[in-house]
Amino acid sequence: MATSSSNTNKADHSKNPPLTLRSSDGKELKIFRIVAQQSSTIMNLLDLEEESNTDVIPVSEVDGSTLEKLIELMNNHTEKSFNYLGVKERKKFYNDFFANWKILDVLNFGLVANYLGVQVIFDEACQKMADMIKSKSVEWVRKVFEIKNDFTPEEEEDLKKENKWAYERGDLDDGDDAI
Amino acid sequence: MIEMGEASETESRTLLMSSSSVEEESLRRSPSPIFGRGSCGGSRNTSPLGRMGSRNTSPSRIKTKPRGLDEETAATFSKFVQPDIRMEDNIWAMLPEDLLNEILARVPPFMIFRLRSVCKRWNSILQDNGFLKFHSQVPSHGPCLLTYWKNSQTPQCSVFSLPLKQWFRIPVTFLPRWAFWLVGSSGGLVCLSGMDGLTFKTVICNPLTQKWRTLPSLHYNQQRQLIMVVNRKDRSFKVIATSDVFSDKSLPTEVYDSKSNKWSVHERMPAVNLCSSKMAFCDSRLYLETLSPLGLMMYRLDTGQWEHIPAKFPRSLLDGYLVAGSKKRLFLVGRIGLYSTHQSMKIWELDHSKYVWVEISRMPPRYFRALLRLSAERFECFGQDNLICFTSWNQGKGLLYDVDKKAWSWIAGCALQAYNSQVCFYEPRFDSVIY
Repeated sequence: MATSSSNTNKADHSKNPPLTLRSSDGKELKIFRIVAQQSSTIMNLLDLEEESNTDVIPVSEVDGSTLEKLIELMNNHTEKSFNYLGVKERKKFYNDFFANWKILDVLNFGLVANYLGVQVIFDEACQKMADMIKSKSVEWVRKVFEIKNDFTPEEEEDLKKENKWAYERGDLDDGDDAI
Repeated sequence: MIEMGEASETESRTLLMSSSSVEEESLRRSPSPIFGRGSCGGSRNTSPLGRMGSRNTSPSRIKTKPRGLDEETAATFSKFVQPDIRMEDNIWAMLPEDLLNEILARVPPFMIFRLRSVCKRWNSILQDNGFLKFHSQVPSHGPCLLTYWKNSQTPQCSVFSLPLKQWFRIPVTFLPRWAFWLVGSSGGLVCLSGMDGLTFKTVICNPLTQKWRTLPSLHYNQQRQLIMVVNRKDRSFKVIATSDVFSDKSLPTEVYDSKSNKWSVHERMPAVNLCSSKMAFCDSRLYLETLSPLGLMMYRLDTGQWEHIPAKFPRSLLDGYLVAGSKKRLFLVGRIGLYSTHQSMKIWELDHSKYVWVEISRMPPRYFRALLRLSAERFECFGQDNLICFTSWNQGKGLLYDVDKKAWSWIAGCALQAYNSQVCFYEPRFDSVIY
């Protein structure tokens, strides 16, 4: 059913018109049913909408711009060519997608993907966040995650000493690019 | 008498897994239950989060209820209940534990240790058995190279992570003093051997968790060629002891099985030729190279019997290494024509049906010249999962050949030292158990 050309997609779905989602800030976005199937939440909401006979599905917890990006990604996933991407190419694809995102935006995106029940995208957002924090210093992590350090200086020193081999090669990159 | 232990006082505190957490059986990474429209009624599990959730409650979900959806069944997080939050409010402060686990599980193993210092909550999460198991289920953070070196005093173990292009020096002072030789690594476990006085002993450890255990002694106390194999499905491992290192006499093959914690004695290898130290294990068979003339012997684990494989070795092959590939593939790697101007390094694969070595690749001359500057220089060769690694100590370089992609590449950022002469592939895993 799904082909790589969006024109053919539209032709196939003339019988199944695209769904309309309305974001929390009133933005209306179209999504084809076959694409929307990736989201269990949308499918659930669809059931309810069909009962109440309206045309628009409110996705009131998600803002328009995030929803738009998510739909874009979901569209990519339904393209046949996407499934043939090798591991490295997929990684590059997501790196490009998340390029220059701040970590807070990735988190927000991940929460939205979780809310909408889109497993693959949720996993990728978590992977991106893991990649963003892995080479950062402890201080950076605390700052970004707004965590209070509840260790005493002695406890922290002990902990660092035990794991000091993990602190060697301190090429930590605390660049503010991710915040 | 079984020796085992945990790292000494100073190292024990954080690197050990806390034993107080309960093992969670449900943490297998089964496909997350996202139901499409066709799912039957009742509570709809729509959240990718919750794979780490507790056993029988419905999988947890971040509490951001969409308007218009049925009242969700009371989903609780395994650790604490989150008040209803709007997504914009203070996300970080209320970061649900499930989401944090999903992020941290994807952080490479070596980076986890540093993150324990962030705060007490993170320290606790990152040492929790359940989390570590979850972490180990995320696709491998390897391959890594592990090197082991011991002078008379201190053992040194360094791991090079290929994906991170970084060296980590792992503390291994917990190992017994006699652990001298690196046998190999498989499934996150590392096996070493040595002479404790007059007794030949073997030890198994997981460098990440710092847990270790000396195996029972062999029936025949001689310094033997060993190979370790891990079965990840049933979480067990075996160690096979073949020939006497000094090859004076032929000894019965002994096999250690972690399930019974015993060595069993099997057939003596037919005293055909001199045994080399070159061995490879694949498809539940152990292959061993014999010298003068070059030949191949095979030991079957299921029958405990040796067999001679009549595969003719390439002429004028020197330093032939046996390397196991994935599934049943067996490779032979070595130099041809040592003293001729047309010296080259080649890779053959065994055709199991015809018992013939088929040439599959040849190292391009520019790599060969860069790897071995002097024609008679020594090199090490080992492999895992269709990746073959060449290391040259004098040149301090590592070269990789990917059999599937037919691609050669230098290992970036990996400056090897002359003393790293014991090296193998290693997969850092928190969940590999030494029992």
